[in-house]
Amino acid sequence: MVWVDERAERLSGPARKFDDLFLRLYPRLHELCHRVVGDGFEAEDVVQEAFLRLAGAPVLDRPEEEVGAWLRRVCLNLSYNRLRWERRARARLERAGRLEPGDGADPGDGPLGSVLRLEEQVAVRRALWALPERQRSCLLLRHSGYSYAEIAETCQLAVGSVGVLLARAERAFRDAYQPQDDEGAGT
Amino acid sequence: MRCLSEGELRAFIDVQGDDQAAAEAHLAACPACRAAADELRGNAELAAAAVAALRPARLPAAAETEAARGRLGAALLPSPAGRQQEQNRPPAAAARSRRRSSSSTSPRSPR
Repeated sequence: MVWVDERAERLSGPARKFDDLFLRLYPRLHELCHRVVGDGFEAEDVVQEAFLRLAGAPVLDRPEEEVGAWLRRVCLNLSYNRLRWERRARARLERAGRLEPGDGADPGDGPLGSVLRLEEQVAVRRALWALPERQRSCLLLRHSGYSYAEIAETCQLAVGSVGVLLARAERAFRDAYQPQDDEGAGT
Repeated sequence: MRCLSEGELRAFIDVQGDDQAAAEAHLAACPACRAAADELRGNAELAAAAVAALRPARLPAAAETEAARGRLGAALLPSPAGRQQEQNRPPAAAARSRRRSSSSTSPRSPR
């Protein structure tokens, strides 16, 4: 804590604002990215990159809700890009016969509970990936605890349009997720 | 009140509607809207449970957040100190680095 105070004293206005925003917004942004990319280190990387972009962006002068929405938007886009890249790399390896086709999750020899949890996470991510990007973001944000106003600002929608986008997203998610569910129940 | 649109019903379920009381009164009287709301509620519950399965064990603690801020580095701050440093750079060094980058990467180089 002392460290932060010392820094704050020699930082100028925008730099202090940047630091302040980082300390307050990082935890939830990290959590959001972790849900998407499924890894804490990678989530940190994504959030760091978003803040790097913020350091030089005019949006830093805007009110905090706007900066928060901007950061969420950048974080989600960066997370999606990483997953896209990862999926392509995995597909290349599979084609070359250097990787067993599958989800890429390595359950290792952990307890059964964590294996099941991993399998469930893979199924959820696969279903989410089937949704159009905006629906995916809307669904993820809502069920990560963001309000309609925050979702609207992040996805650049009118607040009145969040409900209909969310309803569509959840129906599409159900359709993408349930077939796997039924398969699992049948075996 | 007229029947609710899908978006209005979805917002009502999350208690984020414009007029929750009017929507509630309408639902009490309209079986079609009730049925539509039930479907939306079921989908929402499924999505909530699914996204909850992705939740990390916990949020980063304050110390982890500060460590992450430290790793990001101070050099990137839009601070006047940083800009000053850049301006105070000896012109010779700046010219050297410009020459180096242009001689190695310039596409207009004759060879």
